[in-house]
Amino acid sequence: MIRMTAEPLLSIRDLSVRFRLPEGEAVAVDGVSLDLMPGEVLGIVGESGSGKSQILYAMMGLLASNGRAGGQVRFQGQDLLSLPPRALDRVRGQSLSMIFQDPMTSLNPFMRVGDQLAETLRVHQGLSRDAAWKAAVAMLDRVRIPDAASRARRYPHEFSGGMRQRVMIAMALLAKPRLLLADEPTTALDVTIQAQVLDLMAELARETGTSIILVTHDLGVVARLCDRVVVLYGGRVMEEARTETLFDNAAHPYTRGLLAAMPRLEAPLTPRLGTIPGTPRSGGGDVSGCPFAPRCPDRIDICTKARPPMRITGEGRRAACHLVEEAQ
Amino acid sequence: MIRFVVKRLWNGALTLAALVTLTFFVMRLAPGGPFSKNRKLSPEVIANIEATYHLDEPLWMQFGRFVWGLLRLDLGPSTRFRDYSVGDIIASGLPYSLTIGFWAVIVATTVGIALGVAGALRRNGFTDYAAGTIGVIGIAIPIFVIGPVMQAVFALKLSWVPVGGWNDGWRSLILPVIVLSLPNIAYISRLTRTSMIETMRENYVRTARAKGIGEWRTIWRHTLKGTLLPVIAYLGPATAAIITGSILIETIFALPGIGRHFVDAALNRDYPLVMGITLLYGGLLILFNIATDLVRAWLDPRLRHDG
Amino acid sequence: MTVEIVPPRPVSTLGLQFRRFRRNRLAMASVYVLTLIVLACFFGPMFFPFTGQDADFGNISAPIDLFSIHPFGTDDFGRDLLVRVLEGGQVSLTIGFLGALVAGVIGVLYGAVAGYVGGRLDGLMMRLVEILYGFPYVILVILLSLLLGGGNVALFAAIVFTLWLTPAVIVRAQAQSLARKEFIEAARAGGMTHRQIVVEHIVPNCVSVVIVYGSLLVPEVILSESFLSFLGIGIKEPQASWGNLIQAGTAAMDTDLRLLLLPGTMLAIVLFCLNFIADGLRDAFDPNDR
Ligand SMILES: Nc1ncnc2c1ncn2[C@@H]1O[C@H](COP(=O)(O)OP(=O)(O)OP(=O)(O)O)[C@@H](O)[C@H]1O
Ligand code: SF4
Ligand SMILES: [Mg+2]
Repeated sequence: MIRMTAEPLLSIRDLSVRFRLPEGEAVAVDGVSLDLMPGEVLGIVGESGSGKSQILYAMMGLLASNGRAGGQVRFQGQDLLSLPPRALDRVRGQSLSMIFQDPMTSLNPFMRVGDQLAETLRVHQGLSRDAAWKAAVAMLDRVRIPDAASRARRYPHEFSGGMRQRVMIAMALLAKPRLLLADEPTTALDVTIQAQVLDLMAELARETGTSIILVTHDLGVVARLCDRVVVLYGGRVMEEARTETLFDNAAHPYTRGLLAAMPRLEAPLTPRLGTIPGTPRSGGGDVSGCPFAPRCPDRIDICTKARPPMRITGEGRRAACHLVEEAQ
Repeated sequence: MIRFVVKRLWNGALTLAALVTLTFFVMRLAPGGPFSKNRKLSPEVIANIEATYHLDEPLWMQFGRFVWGLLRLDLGPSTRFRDYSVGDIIASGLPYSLTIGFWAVIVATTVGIALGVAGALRRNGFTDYAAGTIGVIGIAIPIFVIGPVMQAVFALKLSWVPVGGWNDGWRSLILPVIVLSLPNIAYISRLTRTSMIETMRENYVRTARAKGIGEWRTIWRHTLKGTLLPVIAYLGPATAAIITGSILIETIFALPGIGRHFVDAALNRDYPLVMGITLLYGGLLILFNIATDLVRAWLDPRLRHDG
Repeated sequence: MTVEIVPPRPVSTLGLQFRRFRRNRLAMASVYVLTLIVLACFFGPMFFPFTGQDADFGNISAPIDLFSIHPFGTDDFGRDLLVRVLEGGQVSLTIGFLGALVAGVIGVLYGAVAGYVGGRLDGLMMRLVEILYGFPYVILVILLSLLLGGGNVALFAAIVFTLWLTPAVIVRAQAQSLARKEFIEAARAGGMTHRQIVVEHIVPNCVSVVIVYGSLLVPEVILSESFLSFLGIGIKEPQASWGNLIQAGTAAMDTDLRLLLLPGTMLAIVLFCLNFIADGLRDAFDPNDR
């Protein structure tokens, strides 16, 4: 796989997420492996339904009740998937935190914003009510909530969408986590403030030395913030590369399709994915061939019969496609 | 907040006025009168009595008289129990009705919420099935079936509790309160269960989980309010159900409350007493609805600003 | 890019929902039991040579003897208990289903008009509903049945009048949200009249809500009827209804529990079935409720 000198902060091996359904079993994530170095920003891109969120939920122990995760998620020397609930709670919110897709509904409407922030510190660091509140206000100030001291006493419905997401960012970074999972943190927001919120998140994370996994379907965002990118399709990794490499020289037909669907790279905000012809595959059963085969322009005979193996194609690069050659 | 209360009180007063007016005319227009059933009295005597109650006056004058009395909080004497004023009769029965109603509400909410929460936390567990069974029984078996059956079993057969009446202190309360609270236990536990299951699926509860604050704290601090809001909204209708039920309960268990008077009064065309009890029930219901709205606004910051 | 606006096809989903309902065993069992009880109530008495009001003075307070002419015995007037309970069922069931139907129709029409028309008329109509909601239900229903002179029709009218409110409110909310949907706007832009829109779009799309809440109305009406008859306000002796049979049973409780248990059990079984059916319908039509 990827060979680097330092010890990875996170290493996911063969992660799968399955859902029990009345009709049978649905596989949302299928054998995903990846590594993340301290301080790195990793992007996960893929169309809607490709399993991006489920990867993060599996790591956080937040899968729906009909979901099961398999494989290994090693984080700071522990396998998150096999931790008992109490031990997992010592990790979540402390060294591992998450920002959700929908800021409008992700904050508790019945609780003052300041209390929601302070709660994390009181539970994890045993701070007093006052000290936790002060830290919460200071953090709100850092995410540029105007007049943070009085705003902290307000309830979420009194905040705009952008402000709520900044509150979420403040809440996630409050305990100075080692790793931040950001699930499309800006898709629900107004286009004009998306960039601003993302930059703020990245800046604060850099200051605290926090690594980020950023899930998005916006390649513009990837180009702007990520060091490395994993491309997901139908719950499987299609390709992984450093950001520049991916944009200059994508190996996988799916990635090339995504890039071609992007009009201009230098445009600050680009349209979403999904203009590749065909219907995106989402978490289906076990496909014997390549999941992308039905939509692939470069398809050859073997594609529908044999699952393409993951091949290392260069330094920190890999791709799963029959047309890709292994690096020597 | 004060504007909200004033507005609700004003609306309540309008509803009450409509209720009282409707009741007044419905009663007078219904066939028969307070003394028409009494065959022993000669027509002259009846005319005489009716004159003392002003029943010989045109309807609009009677209504005016009634409204004027109402403004002075004087509903006049009952036509059936001629030596008592409506105020006396209500004052003597109200403590019994209120005691039973109060305990029924307490039992129904505590037991109902506890069962609902237990069921939601352990779906398809033993408590869930037990609560579900109680729920179905409470909803499907009417008070006037389960009441007499329990009377027959626990009072007549086993002699654990008195059959009825109000002579054995708290022991007289047991059966009436249980029977009266049963339908509401059923509704409240079902409501709590679905509401809690829904709340646990909310995104903000997922956020709380992600913060690693522990399962207990997640439930206590982040799910309970969302769960209870619809339950509290139901307390208004629950009061109405308890009022309805208390009429039955007081009949079944021979309790000296006002509910029992109401049916008697209506059947005997005791106009003043019917008006008095209608006013009381209507007023109670309105006050309860306002109170539940206030509690909801207190719990839910989103409701506080718009009237 | 052209956007095709396709109205939802309620008919096919309706079929799907009924298939889902049929998979619910408890609900289906309830349907069978209820059908059996309805058939027994309406046709059972035909097999007896007497009616529920005929007194058999040779057999007063006869005990239960399944192989005699009075299988469940007689009451203290010598009237056959089984036949009385079945005849009482005719009254209770008829009032229940008819009452729910009429209350449902009134509520649906009222709600659909208020919700679809909106504006000031809606405000006014809902204001009335709100005021009626503020009334204690018992008082209203008792007073109304007195006003209408007692008896079956009065009872029926009083119950219907107090129970149309909930369907009205629910259908109004549904109609209101439908009126804002794209396919309604498209239909309007396409030149359909209001009447056509209501008949072809609003009503079919309200069907599932109406079925679910209508099924809840039936037990409510039956309960109201027996409740009033129990208090001596509804159906009067010698005509039997479950409510007044239960009342008579309560009075004779310490001597003969049968008089209470027979009609009480029948009523409870019917209410159980109706509630299970209503639950089944709700689950079938609104699966995310679980
Ligand atoms: N509770 C569940 N039961 C069954 N299937 C589920 C469940 N939750 C998610 N899925 C399925 O898992 C697949 C992956 O979903 P996921 O939420 O990870 O998509 P995503 O890549 O995050 O998409 P989006 O960009 O829309 O957020 C989807 O096909 C979805 O239908
Ligand atoms: S394996 Fe075949 S179908 Fe899949 S991406 Fe490569 S060429 Fe296309
Ligand atoms: Mg997602």
